[in-house]
Amino acid sequence: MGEREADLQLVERVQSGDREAFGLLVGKYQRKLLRLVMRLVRDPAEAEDVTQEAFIKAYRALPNFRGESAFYTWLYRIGVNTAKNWLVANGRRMPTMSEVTDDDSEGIEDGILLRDDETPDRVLMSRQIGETVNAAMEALPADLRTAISLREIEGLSYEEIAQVMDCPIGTVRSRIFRAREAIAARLRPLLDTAPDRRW
Amino acid sequence: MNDPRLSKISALFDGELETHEVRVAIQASVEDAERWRLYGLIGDSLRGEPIVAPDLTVSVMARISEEPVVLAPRNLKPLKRRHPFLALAASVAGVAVVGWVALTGNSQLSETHLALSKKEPVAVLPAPTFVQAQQTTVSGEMSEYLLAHHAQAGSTRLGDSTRQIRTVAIGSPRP
Repeated sequence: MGEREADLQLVERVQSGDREAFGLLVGKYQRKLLRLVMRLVRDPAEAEDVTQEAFIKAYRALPNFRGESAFYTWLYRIGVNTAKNWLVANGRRMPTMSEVTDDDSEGIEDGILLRDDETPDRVLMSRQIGETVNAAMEALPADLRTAISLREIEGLSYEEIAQVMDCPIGTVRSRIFRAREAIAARLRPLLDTAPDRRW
Repeated sequence: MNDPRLSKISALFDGELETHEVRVAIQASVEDAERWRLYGLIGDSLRGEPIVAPDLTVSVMARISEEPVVLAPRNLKPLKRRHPFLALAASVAGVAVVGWVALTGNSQLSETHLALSKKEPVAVLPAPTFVQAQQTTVSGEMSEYLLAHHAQAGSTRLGDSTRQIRTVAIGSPRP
């Protein structure tokens, strides 16, 4: 089963009446969708509102989702349309191509997204999260660090990682899980003490 | 940390579960949404993607709690009509069931349907289906047949409602 099929399973669960399963989809794609929306709606607070609205629209439209495209592709279209409608409703124009960074999949320099209206605590929290994750990675045993890097950064499947690391797929699954847990253990104290505990 | 359910959350997040494991994993993930969100945060951070905003899940789910529950009916395979009379009998039986549900307010059928639908793991979503209600005026001959059939079934509730029967057809959406 791939990621697309896993998302379809979650969608089907929502379509069967389990609203909490939609929360998993929100948790998984909120940052990606927000980054997309921010290309169009530059103000971070307004982009958050538009992103929320996009998720609400997606939830309402879920009975019509047929699985012909990947869930995120479908969500992406809703996000773009919601942002466009918001711009029109608020008398704003769509940003030109030169004003929009090119590829959502490329790493975006912090300097591009940090605007004058970014709050200092948000900037600080973003950097602290990054530093904590990096420190946790450095502290990981090599096999765990390799496994999670191949998965999260290189995007390899478990089968591919198993071939690279010459180990069973079950071992790959275990290593990635243990790596995530080790990093999460370091993150939780930071997030629990954040001024805005919504992180 | 050695809880096998937790490792399933991690594998589900990557879409790397066997089909038979998915239901347990989804349940575990729903019950441990914080862990699910942390996994997403970790991945974004490792990829150098900026963490530009706090978690929106709580606010989104708060709004969704005010929304009606979305439900999508599943595709049911149409009955193969091998003999006209058998097809008619099958349709009549279906009408009788629907009529019984409507008249008694019995929701077990829909609940059973939902329960059955949850037991079948599927990898691909079926196309959405539409429940269409058609009103059909029943001929006198049909009416007599239905009344006779219904009398044999032991129910006395159909009565005059057979004169105008609502048929509910569940199938593929019309082009």
